[in-house]
Amino acid sequence: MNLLGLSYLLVAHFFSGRGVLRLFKAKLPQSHTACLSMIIGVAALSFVPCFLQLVKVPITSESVSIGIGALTCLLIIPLPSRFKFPVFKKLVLPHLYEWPFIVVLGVLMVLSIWRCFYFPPLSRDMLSGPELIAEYTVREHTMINSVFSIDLSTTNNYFKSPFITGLQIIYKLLVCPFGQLWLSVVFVSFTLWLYSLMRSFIHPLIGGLLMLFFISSSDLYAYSFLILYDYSNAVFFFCGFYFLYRYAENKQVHDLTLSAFLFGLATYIRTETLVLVIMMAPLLFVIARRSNMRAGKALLYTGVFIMASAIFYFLCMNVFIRNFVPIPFDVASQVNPHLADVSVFFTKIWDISADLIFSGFGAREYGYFIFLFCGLLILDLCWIRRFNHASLIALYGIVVVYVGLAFLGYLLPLFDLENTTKRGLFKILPLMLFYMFNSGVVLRLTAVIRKWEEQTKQENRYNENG
Amino acid sequence: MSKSIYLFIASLLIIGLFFAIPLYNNWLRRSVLFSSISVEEQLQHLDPEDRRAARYGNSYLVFMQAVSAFHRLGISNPVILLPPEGFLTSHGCFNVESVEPALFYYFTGYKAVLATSAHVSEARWALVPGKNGAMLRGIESKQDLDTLVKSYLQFKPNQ
Repeated sequence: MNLLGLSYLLVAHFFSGRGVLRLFKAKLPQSHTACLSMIIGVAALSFVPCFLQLVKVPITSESVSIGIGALTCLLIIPLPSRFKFPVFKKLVLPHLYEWPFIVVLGVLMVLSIWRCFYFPPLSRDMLSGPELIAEYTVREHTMINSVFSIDLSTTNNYFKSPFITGLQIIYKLLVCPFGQLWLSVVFVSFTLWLYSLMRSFIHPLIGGLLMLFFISSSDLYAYSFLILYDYSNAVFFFCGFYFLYRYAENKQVHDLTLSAFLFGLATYIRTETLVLVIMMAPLLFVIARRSNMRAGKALLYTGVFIMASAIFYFLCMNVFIRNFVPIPFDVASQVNPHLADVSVFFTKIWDISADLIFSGFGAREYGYFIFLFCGLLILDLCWIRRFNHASLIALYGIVVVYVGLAFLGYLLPLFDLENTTKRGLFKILPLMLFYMFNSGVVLRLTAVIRKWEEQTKQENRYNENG
Repeated sequence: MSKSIYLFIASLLIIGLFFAIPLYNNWLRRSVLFSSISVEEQLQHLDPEDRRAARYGNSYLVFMQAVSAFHRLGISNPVILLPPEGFLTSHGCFNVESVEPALFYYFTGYKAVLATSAHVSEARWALVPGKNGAMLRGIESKQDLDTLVKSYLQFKPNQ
């Protein structure tokens, strides 16, 4: 493994992501900024091989390194404009009782990273598409390579987004022969960000347990070391959702634009996400109405929100795939020819619940995480009977993903239940976790534990003072 | 005792109880901690080719062994006719999974076709059941190719 190459990429991910966050004027705690910078930086650099291919520069380790350096320099332009020396506050270590959770999460992360490094890509969707193209790009220095001269009649995976192809090329050239470690960067940064986010909402003792349920969703964990689109798609979808929530809370336009950008990246990774983004848009009207925004302005914001994802869709389908895949692709041929038969949609709605979630299969794939969410939701409905803004927005997001996946299954016959929908449900899991961070029951439990802790502190102070 | 210690003990208990749940216990033992090859073995086999063999299994080894003959004989650009899975199993070849041409190209770097392919006539070699699972044999004539194609078409094509 080329550690120098890996270090170079990690630094480039961080600074390019940091630059993007600054461009969108995101004001976040340092831990959130660091994690999100890495996540966004991974997506930003994935474009480098595509840009090199567009300008017909041979794809080699030198050209890719220079391209990454150039893109990073370009993206960090916003940084010096408001440069401040970082304030190194006294390092605050996690509480003693958090360490068992941190150790368990850490062990799971290390095992995932090792597997990601050690084993080559496995899934058929990768080996007959993006990974195959990436491997021959490394050998032949062009993304339009000998792969397109072989018999491809059994696959259409070469039509998928160049997100993974780009990252695989970069990591194969600069780090190790199987690439893949970019997924560990996304996984570790996302897990740390969620942990950090959790601490800002609820008591870490409860949060640690919720994180344990989340990370132990077996299928989700498996795709933290098996490269495929769905894990990254879920991460960027949640990032977009989080900044949409922030916009709903503080009405800062830069949070909305950052949300639109992140949803755009999610769309770039899996193009059908565009449908889910459109379904998110009504939330903007609700937010506009609550803040007495003029209708024209609300329409403009909604238009910009959807347009960002539409641009990324266009970039993927009409620029990259059209230029890099020398085989015609007719999107219309993928659409269900019997759209008048809406019963398929309702069947899908039922099947997702009956076959994917509330079944033995569902428990094996996602653990008891979804059951835990349902339990908390029922308790909130029956006992607390009050929902804060964040939990309501999370519930809206959950409904969008659930109904949206059923709609996509109805729209695109290839969007099957056992594979595509099953993995598409990854998007719902972080939203459920976010709901749990804001669940009335969990917040009440948090208050009880914090009060108990405070009482002790007061008693100690009292005893110390005699 | 500080309440922080109580909470520390509580967190240990929570984790212990969590992994005592049969579903998570099985997941931890069978999917997370268990590996078909131990970590020590993995550390001893860091060569990418060993790691590919560990991941892709016997079929990969058989394909690589079969195409090594092309290197030895200096045959360039051979096109190989791949049998359907059912054909191999019906001939007692259970330890080799036939693959689609895209995967075969990824594994070996050699072009392959299926019996259903439009370019099947380009095939000069065929993967057939053999002593060690599967082997390559030359296609002698158009008639030979037609016979192979006919027998392959009786089975469901590889996905």
